[in-house]
Amino acid sequence: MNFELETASLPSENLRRVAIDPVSRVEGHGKVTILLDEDNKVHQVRLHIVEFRGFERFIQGRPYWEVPVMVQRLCGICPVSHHLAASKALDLIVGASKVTPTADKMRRLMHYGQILQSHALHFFHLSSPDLLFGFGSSLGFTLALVLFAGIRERLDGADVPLAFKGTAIAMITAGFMSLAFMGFAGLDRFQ
Amino acid sequence: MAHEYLNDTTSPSAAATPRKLKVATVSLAGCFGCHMSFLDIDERLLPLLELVEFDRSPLTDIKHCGPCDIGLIEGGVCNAENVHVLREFRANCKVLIALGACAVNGGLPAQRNHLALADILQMVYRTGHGLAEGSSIPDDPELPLPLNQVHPVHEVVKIDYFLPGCPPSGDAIWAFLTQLIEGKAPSLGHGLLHYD
Repeated sequence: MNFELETASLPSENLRRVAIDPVSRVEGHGKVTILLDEDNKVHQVRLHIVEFRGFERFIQGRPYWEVPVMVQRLCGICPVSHHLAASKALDLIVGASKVTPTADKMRRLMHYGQILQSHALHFFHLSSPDLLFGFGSSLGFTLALVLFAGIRERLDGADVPLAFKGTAIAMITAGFMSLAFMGFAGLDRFQ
Repeated sequence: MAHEYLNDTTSPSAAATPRKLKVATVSLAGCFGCHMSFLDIDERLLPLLELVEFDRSPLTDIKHCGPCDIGLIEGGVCNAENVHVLREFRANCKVLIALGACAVNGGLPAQRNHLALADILQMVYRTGHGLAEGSSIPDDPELPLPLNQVHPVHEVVKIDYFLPGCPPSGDAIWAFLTQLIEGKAPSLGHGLLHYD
């Protein structure tokens, strides 16, 4: 009943085709094909976006207020971004050169909500499988996370110059921490 | 009915401890919104993982569906690869579920069904706005051929259950799965069952 899917012909018989199909935990159905020779040297790597949907065409002729809701279905991971992009396009169409402050704030709030949700999703569901399945890396990751949480708490009470407050000082601290963590590479007693 | 043999207690292997059910999920011509909604069961994912283990799914890195108890299909069928994957799921899953509007009736991607595929490809890659000079319709052999129309999954294989919604809420998916795992025929009442 089933059939073989067509694949690209190999440019040379000595090459081996490796396919990562599908690419997991991203929206946009993709696959990666790699051509290797006998010495496992990579000759070609290609990313294929295998799905065609035609949103560009079929939204044409629809009532314009439908479009922001339709294009949300481009990507279930980041629907708000598509919704806002379509809303901005509609601003141009209806001649709204300037949106009201309320509309601007609502759009910002929506987008911040999306960013917050997206980061939680990325951390807990999309990258945690990779972190959990590698025991060593997850241990290191936990250590870094705990240390950093402690430092962030101390920073709240510290007298940081205004220009460095918040994310800026956190980034600087992260930089120092990464330098400290590089010291682990020198611990060859455990290797 | 199909769900009755999910918890098969007559086989000798199932005697001592109940076997973990295997669940596979895939997104065909969908947007991953239903998978995101599935993840919206949040902390209930942990008790779920005590009852089931995942086979092929975007959450694991398993690329082919092995023998499974439950298969969740998101999205309709828009190209040859979708047909291929869907048949693989039907061959391996005891119970196959169409999850969300696209799987149930084609959903939004099926909006292209009233247009000729050739015209859409022409417009998108040749005559549309903002295209690079010399752009052409992709024809690499690695790309699966698109079907003339987007089909709901039940037009290609037999489907045991349909869970509508765009997307079905996390609560609906949770209620559906727990009822199915308990060996009941899932039924979602008012509030969980919706079509938008």
